[in-house]
Amino acid sequence: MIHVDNLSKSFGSKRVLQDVSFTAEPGRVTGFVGPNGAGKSTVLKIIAGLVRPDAGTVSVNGKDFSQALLPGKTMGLFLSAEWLPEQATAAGIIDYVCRTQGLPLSWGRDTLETVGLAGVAQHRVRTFSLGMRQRLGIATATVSRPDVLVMDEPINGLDPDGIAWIRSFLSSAASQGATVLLSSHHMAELAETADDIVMIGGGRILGQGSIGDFVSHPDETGYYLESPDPEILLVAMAQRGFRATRERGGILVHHTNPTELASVALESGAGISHLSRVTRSLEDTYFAVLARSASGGRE
Amino acid sequence: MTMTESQIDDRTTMAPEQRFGAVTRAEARRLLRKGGVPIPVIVAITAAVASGILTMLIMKSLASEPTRVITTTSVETGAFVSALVLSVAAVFAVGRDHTGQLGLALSLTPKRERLFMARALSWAALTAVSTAFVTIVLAGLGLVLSGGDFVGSGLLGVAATVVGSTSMVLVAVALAHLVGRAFGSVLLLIGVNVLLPLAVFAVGAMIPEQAAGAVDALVNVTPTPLFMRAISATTVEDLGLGRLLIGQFGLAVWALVLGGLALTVFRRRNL
Repeated sequence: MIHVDNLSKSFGSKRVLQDVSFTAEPGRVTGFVGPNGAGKSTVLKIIAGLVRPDAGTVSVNGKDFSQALLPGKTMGLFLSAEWLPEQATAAGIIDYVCRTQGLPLSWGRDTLETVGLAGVAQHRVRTFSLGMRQRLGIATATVSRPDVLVMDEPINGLDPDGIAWIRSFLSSAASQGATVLLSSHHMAELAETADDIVMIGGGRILGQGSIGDFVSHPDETGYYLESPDPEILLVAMAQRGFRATRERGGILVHHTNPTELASVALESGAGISHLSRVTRSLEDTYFAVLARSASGGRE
Repeated sequence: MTMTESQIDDRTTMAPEQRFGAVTRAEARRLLRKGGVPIPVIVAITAAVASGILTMLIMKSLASEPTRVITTTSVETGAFVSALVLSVAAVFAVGRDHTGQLGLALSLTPKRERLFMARALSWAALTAVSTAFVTIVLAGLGLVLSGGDFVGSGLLGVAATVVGSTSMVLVAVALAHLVGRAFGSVLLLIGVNVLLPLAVFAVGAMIPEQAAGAVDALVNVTPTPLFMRAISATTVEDLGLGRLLIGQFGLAVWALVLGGLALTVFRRRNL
């Protein structure tokens, strides 16, 4: 478990975090989202012990990470492909990871095999593409099968095969009880992978909860329909007390179900030529929350 | 990408906790691997042995010094060259931290004191072994050429240069950790080892003669003059061990003080 409690941090006169608190639970993938400059990387660096907060605390499995008996087993970190020494080889880096953690060196070789880098193990990192660096970074974070995984944009530069692998790897790690904190700009990817979401903007937490809270709020689930005679249908719906509005040539209706809609269309004689369910995506919520935050909380 | 058998292996083969020795060995191996400093180490050893042999040949052909003096002088020359190259290599290697090495290292060894000490110790071990190799080769060559009548001086020369060079390189490692960037570290290294004694000497030339003794003393406590004393096995027969021991002690103090400062900075550093 990662517990972040009231973190604040300033760089010079610029305040980058203010009272940031959230928890990433074991057995779940927690998505960490926010625009550039929101403070995501700073939070992740503080969790990793790379940046000291001005105030607040972070605990990883109940302890300060710097006090972990076996750091690699406690938490695997992938913060950026740029954080791999360019002059070193893939084999050298994974060997270093295994030796510092007291792992059998064969685990390192197997992990390189798993991420598809065994064939270029003796090549220097500076000759790698972004995708290969991402794979190597993921290998360094996962080789010791940590209880907690913190990953910043791990799918950047990965091919579809790699994305599918990392998605299944993270879900599998979480299902085996690991805590996964996954920072990403890819909303669709997060919606597929994450169980919980933490949104950050302007150095503050803007929202947090289960993924369900962000993508399918009951108030915002509705249906979009098109009719040969939309005006008649709109009037009929208003008479039946439906919350219906004109939208892109069709009608958007909330708080109903397809059976009721079909019934109204039939009774009014307007008919329906198209009907689809409208759900709010994580991306919609993300932009809505950011917009609300930018307007100081006004709807 | 597919899962392999060892990935679902149990964790009983993992160490129960991270050991300082394991981190130190990992750091030492990193230094010797591709991407570390194997080439500078080879250059240091080659240049040191070559300069030592050259010194030996020049002194043998030009001077009428005893073979003991020729040998210890060549050992000192070799050690000086080796320490110089390794110091520069150390500041460049530590200065490359910002290219990702430090972030990776800290994420694997978050106890910063442990990582810092492991890094210092790995550089100390690397320097000690390299210097021992250089000086044993040079002392051995001298012994072979002279018929082996000064084993004691030769051993003292080896021991003094190994310890002195190690302290000197640790000073460089500490300076590099204080600055964090290769270019700045090199400038600081030059400043402390070359410009500082020259500056003190220049100031001494401008002040009244009565204060000359104090200025001399001040010059003598800067790292480079201390290093020259620390490895001066040649003078032991004439001047005794005191001069050499003072050099060793002074250099160790520099390494400890700068190391302490560097550790303080290292512990507070944000990446």
